[in-house]
Amino acid sequence: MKKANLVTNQNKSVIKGSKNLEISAEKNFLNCMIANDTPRKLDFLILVIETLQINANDSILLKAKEIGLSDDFSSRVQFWKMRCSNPLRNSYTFSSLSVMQINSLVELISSMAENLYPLIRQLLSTKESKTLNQERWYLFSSRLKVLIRERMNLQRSYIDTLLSDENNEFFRELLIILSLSCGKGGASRLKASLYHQS
Amino acid sequence: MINLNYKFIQNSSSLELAGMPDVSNGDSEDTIGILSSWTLKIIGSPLLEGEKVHLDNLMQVILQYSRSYISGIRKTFTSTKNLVTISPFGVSHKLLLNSTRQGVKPLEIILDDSELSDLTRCLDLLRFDSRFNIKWDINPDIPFSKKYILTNISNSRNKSNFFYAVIIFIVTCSFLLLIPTNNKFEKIESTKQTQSL
Repeated sequence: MKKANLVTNQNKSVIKGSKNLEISAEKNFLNCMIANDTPRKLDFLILVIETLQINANDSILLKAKEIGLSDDFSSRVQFWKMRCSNPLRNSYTFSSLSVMQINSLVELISSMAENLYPLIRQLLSTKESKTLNQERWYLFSSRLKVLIRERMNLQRSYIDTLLSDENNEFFRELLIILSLSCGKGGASRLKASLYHQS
Repeated sequence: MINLNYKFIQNSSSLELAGMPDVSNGDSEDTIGILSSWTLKIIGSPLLEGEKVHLDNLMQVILQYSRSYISGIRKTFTSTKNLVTISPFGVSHKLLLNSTRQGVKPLEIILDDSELSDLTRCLDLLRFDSRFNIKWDINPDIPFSKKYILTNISNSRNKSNFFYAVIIFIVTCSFLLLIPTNNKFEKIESTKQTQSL
């Protein structure tokens, strides 16, 4: 009986603790604005997830259901509409993302990154054999470039430079962002990077 | 006394903490309220151990560095007590650990991106673990100001672009100045026009 009381008290304190953390996290974003490159960054991060996992769109929607995200993630069309806020897309809709949508996308990306962490880690590691690493990078960058060609506006000079860059610097940056945004701590880090103080 | 041990393993990093519940603070049997020791194993480097102050310093530096790195900023960070420093080292990252014991040389560990993210994940797991009722001396993840981002992002490429633009402008202007103007042609044109009228 005592033990049961102890457990319930402990659970209450954990819930209180998590609520306090959420409140303090919300306070940190009081005088903040969404950064200009946020829709672009989020779309490219999802594009990297799609590169690393075949049929990632289905698993992203499933994950969204698991986490209990809003109706924006109930259908492929709604999800695609959200991604079309990226101005570099072929089908740019001149729309912007709401704070709620950004928070949901951050949560989703961070949980997807957690699942894909072993693959991301392999690509970022410099301590494995060079030839193997080069092969992995060749596969990854060529697949990502195919996806970029399919979906992005090729008349944009930025996209042109991305496709012609042989060092894949931007792709590496995206992988680093994904690796550092795994889990709860990673999600709060990623969220902070998508805003700036006004 | 109950001694508790918890371990966080992330590929190349493994963090082990030992401690006991703080009964005066109302901690349950499986909660660590008083940290007695910790050890950190990073593959390819010596075993690190210390007290809470050392772990606080390590957490401050690694989490701040990762927060900056995710925003594209690579900058040196030193902990409040100067025990831990992390700085960019080529493509990798250099972690410098100063011992509080006298006569012990500072330890240098080179981490690549994957090892940095492993270590960050270990520390993330620790700071959000409900089995620990310990107040960590770390900064929250706050958005940066625009000015901070602009001043700290390495814009060497942007600066060189501006420099090249100025040079190209001066060269083309000097070439244009060298081209002789054909004044005679203009005069003939103007006289022809007046005649027709």
